[in-house]
Amino acid sequence: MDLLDPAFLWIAARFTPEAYMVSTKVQGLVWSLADLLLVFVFLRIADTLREGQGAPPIRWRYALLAATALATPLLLFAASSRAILLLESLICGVQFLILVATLVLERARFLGLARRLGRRNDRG
Amino acid sequence: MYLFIKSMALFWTLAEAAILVAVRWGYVLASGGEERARGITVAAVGTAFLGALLFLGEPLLGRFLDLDARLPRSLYRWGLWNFFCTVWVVLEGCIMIYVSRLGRLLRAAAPPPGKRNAFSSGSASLLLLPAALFLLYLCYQAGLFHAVDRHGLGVRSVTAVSLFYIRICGLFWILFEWVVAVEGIRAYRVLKRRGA
Repeated sequence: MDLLDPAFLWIAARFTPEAYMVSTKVQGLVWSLADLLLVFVFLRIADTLREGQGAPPIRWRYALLAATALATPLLLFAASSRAILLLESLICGVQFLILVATLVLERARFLGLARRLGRRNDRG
Repeated sequence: MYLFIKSMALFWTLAEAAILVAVRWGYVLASGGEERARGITVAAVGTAFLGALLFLGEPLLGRFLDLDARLPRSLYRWGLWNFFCTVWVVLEGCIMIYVSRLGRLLRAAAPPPGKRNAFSSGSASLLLLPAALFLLYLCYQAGLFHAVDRHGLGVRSVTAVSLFYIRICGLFWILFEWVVAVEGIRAYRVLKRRGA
């Protein structure tokens, strides 16, 4: 543990609140971009399954996702770590809810796809 | 504010556990198996335990340790928050592994010869990844306690070191979420090409 002491002392001295804010905003934007992309693609997959069964396309979930996309750049202007936490809670919270709601609402279609894959892989 | 933070921590844990259970269920079915509620049971018990830790840990531990003083309380709360950051990294890592495996099954009609996704080989990755991440957390916390003890670091230093750990977790979140996003795009393209 003595070997790690210099590293922790360096971090304690150098990782200032300002450094934390900048790094948090940068990371927050990068992972928010990934979140937006993966939730969007997930909705597109769900829409593809719905299309195959003649069901109407998804609407309100895309709208909610678009709202989180519009809120994401606000991270750049957050003045405190508390503001970042509240913003991220709102943005990620809504995106999580979209994911979980889609898993629940489209569960029959996703399960059907998984079972078809299972049967195909068994035959293969 | 602390109550809000703890509530959000529980919400994120629940949501990620639910997603992991669903993705694992899909993988088990897609590989020809039948899921028996084990995943849901483990997730429910695990989340209940973490919820108890979040809301009851400090009052219970306060009976044995002096958590009224600023430094011990700060060490406890940051240690707890960093533990939950580690849990979220572990959950997202496991989601990433199952999503990668599902993607491989989806593309199985024409798999490229000799090419395997490094994250989806056997169940070793599902054990090694959480083990490595929790080991990182334990070593980091032990190092912090040692530095506090040896060098008399105060609350401000504990906060800086703990926040740095969150940024380390952030790197993992970015990596895992981008892998899942890319796998999602690949899966979508396969489904569109073949028809769902």
